[in-house]
Amino acid sequence: MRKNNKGMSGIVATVLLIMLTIVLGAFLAKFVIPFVKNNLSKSSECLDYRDHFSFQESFRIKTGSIYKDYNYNCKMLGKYGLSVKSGAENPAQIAGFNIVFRNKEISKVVKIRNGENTGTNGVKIFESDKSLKIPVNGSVITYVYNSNDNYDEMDIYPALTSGRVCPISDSIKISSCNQEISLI
Amino acid sequence: MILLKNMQKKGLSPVIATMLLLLITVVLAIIILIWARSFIAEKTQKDLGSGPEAIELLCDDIKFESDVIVKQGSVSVAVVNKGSIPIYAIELRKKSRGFVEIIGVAEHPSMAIKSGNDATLKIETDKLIIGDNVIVVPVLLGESGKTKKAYTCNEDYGFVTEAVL
Repeated sequence: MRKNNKGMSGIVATVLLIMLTIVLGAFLAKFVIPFVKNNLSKSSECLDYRDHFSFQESFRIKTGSIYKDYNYNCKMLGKYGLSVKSGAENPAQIAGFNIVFRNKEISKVVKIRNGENTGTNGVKIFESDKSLKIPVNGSVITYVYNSNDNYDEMDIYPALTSGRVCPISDSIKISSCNQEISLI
Repeated sequence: MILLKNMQKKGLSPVIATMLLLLITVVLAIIILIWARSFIAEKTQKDLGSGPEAIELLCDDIKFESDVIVKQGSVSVAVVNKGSIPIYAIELRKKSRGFVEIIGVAEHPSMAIKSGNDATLKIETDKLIIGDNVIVVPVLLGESGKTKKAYTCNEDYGFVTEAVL
């Protein structure tokens, strides 16, 4: 007895394999690649902003013939000063930053966003009533925050236009303002 | 005997199978490489004759002096390059109590202020007055891939002075 070994012809099998490959390729291109790309860009979107904002610890200003250092990261009479410096690059994805004021027991998150009205969340630009703006291209802006709580340290977290808040960028201890600085 | 002959199955030769596997590996590697490159930002580099270097490291070797002269509606920035790194442009920043504000950027018309040379660059602005504390921050010209890219050094490498008449 001869065994019947008939099956698909070689041409049909090849065409089927090619079609299967094309369908799989199209599926990968349409769904899998955009999905992976989207998730990868989400996971890496904070990489460029790790050190984007920092606290400017002092301003060396020449008054008369001598240079003096002024530190505005300080507190006085229910007001907190904070001098924020931006990185040299100015990425479009930056919407602002969050400041976390904290002591050993409590913490408070204060959001500062570009274009918000002065006084929003108790924050205004030092010696100005203009709307809030964030520093760009290496510039520095000092803000004043009103609070009756007593905080010892503050941290800064970059916030992106996507709504995401990136990991901590800088941290500083809050000292009492010296007599040459007035936040009022 | 006939049954045995019919059971004999032919397949790919080992050479072709190996070639196919190698080909698939190479194609996959190329696809992954091209894909991954879009996630890695290209660094700005500068070549001063001894091979490309990260441009931020060159800021450390910049030596220059500067005078900032305020005139009506404009500011002249005189720069003397005393180091070995060509200065492509300068960024002028005004420093006051609690603020550092960018006044403007001035480029040198012939691409760079070379070592030992001086130049006076002009910025149209009325934001500066005599006695203001200013920082002149150097800007270098590097390359990122095939495109030229300006890089502003950190403020710490800037020249601190006072605006004069």
